[in-house]
Amino acid sequence: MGIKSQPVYQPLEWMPSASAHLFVSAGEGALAVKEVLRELALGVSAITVLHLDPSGAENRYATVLENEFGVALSTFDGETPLMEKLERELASAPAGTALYLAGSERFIWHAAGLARRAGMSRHQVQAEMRGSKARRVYCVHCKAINENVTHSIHRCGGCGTALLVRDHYSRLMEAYVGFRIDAEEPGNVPESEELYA
Amino acid sequence: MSLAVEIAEIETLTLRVKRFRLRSREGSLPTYSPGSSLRIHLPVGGGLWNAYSLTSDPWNEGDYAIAVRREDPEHSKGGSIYLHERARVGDVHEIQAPTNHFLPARTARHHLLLAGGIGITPFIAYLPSLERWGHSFELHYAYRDEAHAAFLPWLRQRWGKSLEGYATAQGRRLPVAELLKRQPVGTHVYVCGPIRLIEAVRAAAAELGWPNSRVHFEQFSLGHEAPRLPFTAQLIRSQKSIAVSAAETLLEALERERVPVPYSCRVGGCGTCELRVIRGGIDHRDHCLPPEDREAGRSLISCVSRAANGELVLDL
Repeated sequence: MGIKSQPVYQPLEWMPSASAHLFVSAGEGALAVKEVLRELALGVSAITVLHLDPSGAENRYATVLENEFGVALSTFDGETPLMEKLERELASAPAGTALYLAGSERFIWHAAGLARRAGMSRHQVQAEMRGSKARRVYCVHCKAINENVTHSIHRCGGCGTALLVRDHYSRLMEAYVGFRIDAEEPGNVPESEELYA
Repeated sequence: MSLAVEIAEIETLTLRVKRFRLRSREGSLPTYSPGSSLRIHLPVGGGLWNAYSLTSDPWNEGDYAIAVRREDPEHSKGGSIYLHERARVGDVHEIQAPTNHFLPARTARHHLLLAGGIGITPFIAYLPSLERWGHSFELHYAYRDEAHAAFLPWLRQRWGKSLEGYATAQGRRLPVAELLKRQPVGTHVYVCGPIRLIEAVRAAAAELGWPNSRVHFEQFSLGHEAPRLPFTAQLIRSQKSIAVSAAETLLEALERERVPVPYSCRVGGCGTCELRVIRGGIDHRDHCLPPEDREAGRSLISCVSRAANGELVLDL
C-alpha cells in the first residue's frame, strides 16, 4: 500500500446537508444506491438517479430502483447517452449538489471527470466500486488505453509491450499507468498473475 | 518584505472613503494578484500596522492604490483617521509587500461576489482580472446609500450589467440565501464586509451543502469580541514565560517580548500566525482553522485566540 493516487472507495453515505442528490450507477452499482435510499425517511426530495444496464448484460439491476417514492429515475442501455444526460443534469444542478457514483471503476471515473469539468469539488463526490475490479490501463509507451485488464503483466493492445500494471491511478487519463517490465533486461518478463478479477 | 512608498495622490471617493495612490521612491513595486492586501505603517501612538486591500488593477498599474474608510474613533486605533486627516501627498510610509488570502479561483465556472460597504475594495481589483480571464461573474454590493458607496459610479459605468446595488437606507438587503440558492455547480462565492454579512453567507452556504472550498471570505475587523482575560504563555523552546494582559493579544505580547511570529491579517482570517500548542485549553477566536484542527486542540491562531483556562504551553 502507499500509492497516494490509488483511489479509495467507501460505501455511499447520504449527505444530509446537500440541497440536491444525484446518483449515477451502472449494473450492480444499483445495489449500492439502493442501500442509501432504503435508509431515508419518506418525503426526502430532490433525488435523481441515472442508471445504466448495458444492452446485452445478463442482469437488469434497474428493477431494484424502480418504485422508489420521490425518486426521479432514468434508465439507460448505453453509457454515452447516460453521460450526456449527466452533463445536462450537472449544468443545471445547484451548487450544493451531492453526487453519488456506483459501478465499475472505469464508469465511476468517467462520471467523476464530467463532474470535475463542471466545477464540482471532490468533497461533493462519493464513489463506491461494485462489480468487476478489472482495470483500465494506460500504456505510457504507445499511449494506448487497455480496457478490462485483469492481469499484471499485461501485453499492451497497442504496442505489444509487456506492461507492469501499477497502482498509480491517473485521474486525468482515468486509467492506471502501465509501463514496460523488461526495459532493463529485455525478455525477462515475470509470469502474469490475475490480480484484478 | 518591507519597503518605503510615497503618497502620490489622495482622492475623496465618498464622505468617508479616500483613495490613496502609493508609488515607489526608487524602482518598481513588487507585483501582486487580485485580492491582495498590504500593510502600511502609520505614525499613531507607538506606531500601527494597518492592512488594506489593493484596489488597483494588477495588470495595468505599477503603483498601489488603497481605499480607506474613516472609522469612528470608538471602533478604531486611529489609523484610518490619521490617513484621512493628517496624511499628505509626498508623505513617506513603510509598507509590507502585498500578500493574498483572497485569491479568485481560476477553476471556477462562475464567481458570485458579495460586498458590504468598504468590503467592495478587493473586488475592485478582481473585476478587471475576471474580465481578462473571460470568466462569468456577478457583483452584489450593499451600501448605506449612494453617497456612501465607494466606486459606485465607476462600477455602474464599467460593469453595470454584472452589478446589483442594495441601498440599506432604503430598506434593501443583500438577499444572501436566494443568491446562493440559484447558483449552479462550479460557482465560487466570495464575501467581504461586516462580520455579520460574512457569517450570513457562510451559514447559508453550509445550509445549502456548498463545499467549504467554494466559499471565500475576507474580513477587515474583529467585530464584537467576547471579553478578554489575562493568561500566561509558556514558551518551551525559548524557555520564557510571558504574561498576556487583557488589553493585548498573544501575538502582541510575543512581539513585545521580541519573539518573532510571522503574521499577516491580524484578524484571525489568514492563518499565518498559527502556533503549535503543547498543553492548555484554547479559546479559539479565529475564522480560518478547519473544524478538525480546532477540535484537535493543537493549533492556535495567535492574533486572536487565547487561553481558555489561564495558561498555554507553546512549541515556540
